[in-house]
Amino acid sequence: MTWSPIRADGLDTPSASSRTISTTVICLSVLLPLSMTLPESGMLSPVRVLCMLVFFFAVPGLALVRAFRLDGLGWTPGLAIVSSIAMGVIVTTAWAYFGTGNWLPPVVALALCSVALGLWRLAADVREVTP
Amino acid sequence: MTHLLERKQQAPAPSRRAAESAIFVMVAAICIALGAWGSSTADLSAVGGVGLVAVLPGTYWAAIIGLNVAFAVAIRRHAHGWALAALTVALIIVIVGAAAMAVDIPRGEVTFRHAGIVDALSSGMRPDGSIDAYFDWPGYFSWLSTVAKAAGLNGVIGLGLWAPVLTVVVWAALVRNIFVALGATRNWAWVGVWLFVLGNWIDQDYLSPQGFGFGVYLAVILLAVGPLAAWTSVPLLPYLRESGVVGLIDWWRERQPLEPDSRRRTGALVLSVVLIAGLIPSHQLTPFAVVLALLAIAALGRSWAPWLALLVIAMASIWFLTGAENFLDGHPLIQNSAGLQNAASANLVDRLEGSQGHEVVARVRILFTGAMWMLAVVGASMSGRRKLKITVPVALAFAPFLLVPMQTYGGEMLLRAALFSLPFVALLMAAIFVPPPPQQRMGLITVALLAVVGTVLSVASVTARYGNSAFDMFTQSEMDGVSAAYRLAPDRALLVSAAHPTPWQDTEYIEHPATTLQDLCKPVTTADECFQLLRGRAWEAGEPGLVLIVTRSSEKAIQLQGLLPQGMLDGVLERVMADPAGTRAFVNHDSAVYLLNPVAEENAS
Repeated sequence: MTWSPIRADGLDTPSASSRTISTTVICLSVLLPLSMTLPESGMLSPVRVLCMLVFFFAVPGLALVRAFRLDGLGWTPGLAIVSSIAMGVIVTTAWAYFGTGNWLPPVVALALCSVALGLWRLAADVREVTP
Repeated sequence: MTHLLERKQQAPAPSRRAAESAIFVMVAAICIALGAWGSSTADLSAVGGVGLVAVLPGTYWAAIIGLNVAFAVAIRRHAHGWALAALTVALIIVIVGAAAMAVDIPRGEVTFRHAGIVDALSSGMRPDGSIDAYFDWPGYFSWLSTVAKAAGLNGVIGLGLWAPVLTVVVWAALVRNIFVALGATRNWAWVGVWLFVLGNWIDQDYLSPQGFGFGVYLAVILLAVGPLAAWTSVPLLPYLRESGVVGLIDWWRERQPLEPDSRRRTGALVLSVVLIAGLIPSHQLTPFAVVLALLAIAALGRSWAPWLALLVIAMASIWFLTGAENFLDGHPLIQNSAGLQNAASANLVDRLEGSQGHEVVARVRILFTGAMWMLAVVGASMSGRRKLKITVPVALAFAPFLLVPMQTYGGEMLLRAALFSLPFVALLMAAIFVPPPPQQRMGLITVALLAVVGTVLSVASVTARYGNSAFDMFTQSEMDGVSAAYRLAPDRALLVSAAHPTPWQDTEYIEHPATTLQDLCKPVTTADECFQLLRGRAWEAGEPGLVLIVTRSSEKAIQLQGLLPQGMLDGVLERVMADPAGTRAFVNHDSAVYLLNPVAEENAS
């Protein structure tokens, strides 16, 4: 499976791998935040820490980079991590000023944004493939 | 085309190339193991004025030499990208992770302070700029607070230990992407990244808004020189000769986008705005560095979105007038006409004070940075013969220094400007090692030169980065002492440390105001005057009084940096013990805690 859905001539080629990646991003956006329900102590605690770190450091940015078709240039890892933090900062800062101190809404908002961005790219790929 | 030609001329047979690349990955793994072994067996109790460099054993330096030799050979042998990436990550772990491998307590006071701000925001308080400037730019801390809570972490201090390594890995990935987007050949880009990692001694990669901010700075530049780049097919000079400034504007208007896909251009623009919107509430300085970089690219006619810089200015202005309004009161954005003199004094002269060892470290830092710049000039002068395009890197290397005369930034502006320019200085410097065409393969002499230069820079980098290790690496005894101080401190008690750095404020950041004898006693010269100031603060604090913390690291900082007159700290401690209001409440090998409480004096009398 090739990571890049973009050809050497710079034009997008909606491919099965691109749709698989979008689907994976959407699934991660839903599944990783569910690890918040795991206990804060005990055997499952490290799993929760790992899942949430992957979510906060990678998923929203990956969805963003793909939605705006900036993947496939070999830039995805660095750009996705910094974009993830930037998206998280925007959501959590707004919530810090206008919210109630409950940390759940920013996580849900980030997950929903990631799902929406993933669906956007998936829909575009499907639309371009369908004659 | 250049890449393809280079690959064809240099690459060994595919199977042999893969086998060689695998060997380089194994060398990287061995060097990490050697580096970890060396760092973890270093005698930290013997660390003196020159820092960690003096106590690291031979195994550590074997790892450094091994990595530099392996990298130079891997470049010549045209190893796979993943092998070069493995060697680069190994270099980052061995150099940037040395402190974390030596002791499992984060280095530096500021990491602890940042953890305390995250802890305060975790309580659900609204960011309040009247507390201090950190709460004028709470973005990154709010995010960390949410990450910690969602992950079920008890604070973020644990993340601080390995944050520098992860941060530099992300920076290095972005730096390489920028170099490739700027048209650097494969080897030029990798050597540039290697030199960037070695030149990064400025220590802003810890768990901090600056660490994130520099990542955004790189990402925005990447988008600006990538999908948002423009070019002109016509030369500038005929336009200038014909119509002067009007001709210049006409030439500038001739720009065409490099990226043919308009969707990707729009996407890059939107992503830039998202990145900048995340940066502005997080860090006060970096948006201005972003503006200068974007203006430099736009001025060269290389930007398809030149107004992006104006958008950053508008967004930053809105934040200054709303979220950071408290900061503007008493903190002018641009300093008075004495700016250059102040900047030179605060950035250079003040750093050359202290013990002999500390002075050596300060001079190594200045010489190291100066040497990088000199080699960058040499590389730039060789670029013509090597047919390398360096206009944009040169502009981006100089642009951050326009910040220096505007603000001292607490005496750190020159260092920050050096950090912002470092990727481009490294790229220019790397041009020295690019063979002139038609030769594509790096010669043996150049390989040897790269290995030697890399090793020398590695030693300088470890010296410069860990030059303060005598006082910015903490022991478990010190942590126990600080914990005891928080346990003993009555509600709202003033916390006073002997000096910076102290591993404190990672908890109860709002509850306990904090200062140091270093700051409190700056205007006085004798122990008695200093004690009277301290006693005055205890009485001002009222019933809870104050808690004085003295740690090994703060004593070392005073001794090596000359922060207080000789004997002043001992004199103050004698007076605290002699005072009816003073007691020593805790002591261990590396720390002591004293209480100075007005109520105790009243009870005694």
